[in-house]
Amino acid sequence: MMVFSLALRNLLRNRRRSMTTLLAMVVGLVSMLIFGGYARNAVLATETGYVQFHGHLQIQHKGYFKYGSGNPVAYGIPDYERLIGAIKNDPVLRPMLVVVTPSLRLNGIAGNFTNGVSNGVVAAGVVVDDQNKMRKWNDYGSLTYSPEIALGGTPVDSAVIGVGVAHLLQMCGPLKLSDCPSAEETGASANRDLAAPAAPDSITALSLAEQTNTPAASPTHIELLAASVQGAPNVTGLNAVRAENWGVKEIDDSLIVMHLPQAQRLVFGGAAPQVTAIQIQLAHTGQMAAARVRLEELLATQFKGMPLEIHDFATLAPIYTQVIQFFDSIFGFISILIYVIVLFTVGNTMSMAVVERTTEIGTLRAIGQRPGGIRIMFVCEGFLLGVLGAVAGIAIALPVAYLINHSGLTWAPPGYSYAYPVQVRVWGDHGLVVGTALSLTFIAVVSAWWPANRAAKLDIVDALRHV
Amino acid sequence: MSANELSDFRVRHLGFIFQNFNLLSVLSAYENIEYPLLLAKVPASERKKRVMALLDAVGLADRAVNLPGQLSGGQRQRVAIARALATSPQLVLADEPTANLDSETGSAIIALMRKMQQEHKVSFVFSSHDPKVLAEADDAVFIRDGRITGVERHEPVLERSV
Repeated sequence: MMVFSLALRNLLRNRRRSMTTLLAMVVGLVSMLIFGGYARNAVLATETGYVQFHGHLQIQHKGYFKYGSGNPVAYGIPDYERLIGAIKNDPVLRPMLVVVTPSLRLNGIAGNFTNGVSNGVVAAGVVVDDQNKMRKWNDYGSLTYSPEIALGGTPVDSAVIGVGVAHLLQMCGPLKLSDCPSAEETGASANRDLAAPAAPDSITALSLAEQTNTPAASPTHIELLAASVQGAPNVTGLNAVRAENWGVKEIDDSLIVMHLPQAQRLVFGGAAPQVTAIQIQLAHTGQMAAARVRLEELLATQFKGMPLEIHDFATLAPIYTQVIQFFDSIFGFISILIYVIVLFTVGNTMSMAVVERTTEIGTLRAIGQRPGGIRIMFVCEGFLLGVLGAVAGIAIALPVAYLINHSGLTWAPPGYSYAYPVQVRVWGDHGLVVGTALSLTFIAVVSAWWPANRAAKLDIVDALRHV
Repeated sequence: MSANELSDFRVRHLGFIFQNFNLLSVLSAYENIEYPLLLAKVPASERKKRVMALLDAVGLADRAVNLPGQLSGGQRQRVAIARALATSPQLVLADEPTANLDSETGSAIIALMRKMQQEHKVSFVFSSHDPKVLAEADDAVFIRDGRITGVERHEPVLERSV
């Protein structure tokens, strides 16, 4: 018959106890699915963010990643356009590619000499259209914060600066930033006056004369000082068209994005322009391994003499791997706790059932039920508890996840200056849902195994005598 | 014999009737009788035929779908007798089959057991403290404190001390 039918009827025999056990399983499963869905979303959103800004793969000069990030001159890639052309025209790579774009990163000092302030910055020279195309990559449908670079159609000396840079350079007014106190309000101007030694009268007079003879600088004008290819410092003038919240305070306080030709002129002057990285964005992250293999072949054959290396986004952004490990460890800890709770709850329920039904076990054995049949009967009850708990848990977790996703809750991850919507990715994540449900059902079966085994080994006469 | 072989022997050759009926409370009268046939792997059509015949024989054809909790004591014991006979055993062991029944129902159960014994050609061995029940037995073995104190055959009566 009816092993499952009998198991179900036996579970319904003590409905309150079965419901309590199911409730424990449902709460456990919902917790696992909600946290798992949240962690999954965080990992995918993090991946999406990095791929949108840096691409899946980057080709860099050998050693640049470890030692050369502040030295574009020593670690530049010459003849990069030929390399990009080869990648774009490669028949194996072409179907996988979304964007292949050069970028040049450099360290420098940005100054707003109208206000007499300067600050160390990291400047990125980029191909704006390519970068904005990269921002559109969203293979997982994540809600990410990835503002486009507002440099489309702007003159070559235009730049977008981080809101922190705007604060530091006292450009809040011209760039229309709110919540931005003036230097006088923060007392910074008083400190500056105190700290600055008084200039000789002759110098002050010369400065005044120079200022009257030159046209007034734009309030959004900044000077960017960086080391050039000859080793001497070079300066370029930039016009900040917008202050952008990049989402991370450290980046907000230091990043200036500019047109690639302007950055190349600053560093390389009249020499052949170079870049520090070629960013490659693929259609899908799953293509990364194949693309990398092909790129290595390409570099080893067509660009044999060039000291280049390939890095994926997980290497370039170690925090990505750390985020995964962080969430995995918490999810693992929560899972173990819930498995232990389910193990003892189901085990206790089945143990009580065995004690209560000892006479029945004796009767079944007397009329010819094999010990294995008794064992299967109780294991099936555990299995059914697991399946019912899993189904009910999934049925509850889905609307709970929906409510969370539409609740408007936000949070700013540690170190971030932008509050992200809280999202839980349960629907569609079959691996998480099926894996969690199966593991919980398996735990329920394991929990039932020991009481079932004890029931199967009962002496028939003792069982029949049981009161 | 192994535990499995003993189980298989019991399901094919022995039937059991208990003082407290020991029916599976979650199964209907029909399913309780069917259970040993499932253990004996009797085909479904044959099972149905046999169960219905037994229900009819014990006068409970109209209570097939009732759970034990919906039956009287006498009806439960009749279901238990039908279950004991389901696999056509050679021997049915009954432990005080009338102890939990009133005298009228007990007499009816004994009469039923006698009828089944004759119709199914099966031996019934039962224990009882009730002299009226013992009087219905063909042979009686008297046990006191775990020792056989006498054997009685109604026609002719053989008595000996052990």
